[in-house]
Amino acid sequence: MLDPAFAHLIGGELGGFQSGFTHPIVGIDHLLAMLAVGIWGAQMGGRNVWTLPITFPFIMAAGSVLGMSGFVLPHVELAIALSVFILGLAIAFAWKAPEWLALLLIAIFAIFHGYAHGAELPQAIDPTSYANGFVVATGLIHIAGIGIGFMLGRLWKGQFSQALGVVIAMMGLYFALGPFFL
Amino acid sequence: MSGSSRYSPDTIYFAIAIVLGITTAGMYLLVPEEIADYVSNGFMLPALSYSLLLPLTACGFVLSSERPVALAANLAVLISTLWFGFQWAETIIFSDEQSVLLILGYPIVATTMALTTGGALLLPLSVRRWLVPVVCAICGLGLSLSVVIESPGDDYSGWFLSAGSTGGMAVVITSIVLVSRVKGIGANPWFTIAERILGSWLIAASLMLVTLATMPKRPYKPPTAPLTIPDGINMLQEP
Repeated sequence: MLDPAFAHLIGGELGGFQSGFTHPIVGIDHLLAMLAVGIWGAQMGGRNVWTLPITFPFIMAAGSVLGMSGFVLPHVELAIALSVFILGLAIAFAWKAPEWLALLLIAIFAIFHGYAHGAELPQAIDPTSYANGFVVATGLIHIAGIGIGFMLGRLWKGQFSQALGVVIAMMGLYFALGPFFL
Repeated sequence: MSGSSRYSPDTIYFAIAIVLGITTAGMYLLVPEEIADYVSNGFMLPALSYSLLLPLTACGFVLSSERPVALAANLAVLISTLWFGFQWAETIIFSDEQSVLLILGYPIVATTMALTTGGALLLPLSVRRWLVPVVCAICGLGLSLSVVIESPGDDYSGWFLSAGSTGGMAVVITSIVLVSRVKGIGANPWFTIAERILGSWLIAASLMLVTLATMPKRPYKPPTAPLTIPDGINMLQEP
């Protein structure tokens, strides 16, 4: 059976930088959502290229504080899956959202992603390195997303980018509905 | 034409950065075996401790917004505070007040460095210029305190020299490479984006660590379900 939030299940090596760094990369739902943030920002262009990837880690930090405090946030896995789905759709339809709305959406998604990371942070052997690792990995995934967004945006008038958005949205749907049907 | 005009200042700065990098690596390789324990560990501290390396690299980014003369002056601030910090911390650690240094702790020092450098990277250039010496001073002091707190307790001179020089080189090499190759902030909008992203990483990581340091500890609860990774390997299988 598919379990959507793969990144939350790495329980073996809650060590230092390397564990924190691999945490968002190994979890494909986190990876796709963060990649989608970069692609969507590049697709919208202008200030969105950097405001989206900068907002995400800030709000993610707030979400991780919730996780660390022991606050129970419901349906975290489902919300993360929906973030993949909605960001995929935004790319697929080349949605030029107003900046405030795009940032609001990103902020809501980042809360849930941060919560998932933060819940594990207090148990890390070296929390300082662990936090640095997963924040850096998140940022690098955003940068990769911006790069992919710009490269694909030039192919067939951006349709290649939109096709990738469809794939991401389908993956999000799979993560959201998979546990109920598989 | 004189021979010096064959090379632009940028090429010379870049060459200096390369030479400094190779020299730092060469020093590590040439360390005699009998003192390798302290010296080589000192070299490794800033290079492998990402919570130190990230703020030091960010300090290099901050410095790259300066013109060469101001850059050199601010590097002098960093080296001075690094030296002063060593003397101060070494005096404290052998005194009855050593608990002050140990209470400060390596994570708090590194977090302060991250908050300062991250915040500076997010500030507008006009404001940031006034704060560059402060950022350098905090990084120099923070590096020296971190090195003393993490020291093995013996052969301080070799440990300080190797750890301090590697940490300082991270700042110097980053700033010189950025100044010579990217021409500093303002000249390239992509560089500005990279700076803001790096600044946001540092602030986000710092916020989490400040929370972690100040929140009450929760008792560790072992997971109730078997932990697996995507390839299906059970992480907690009984032997």
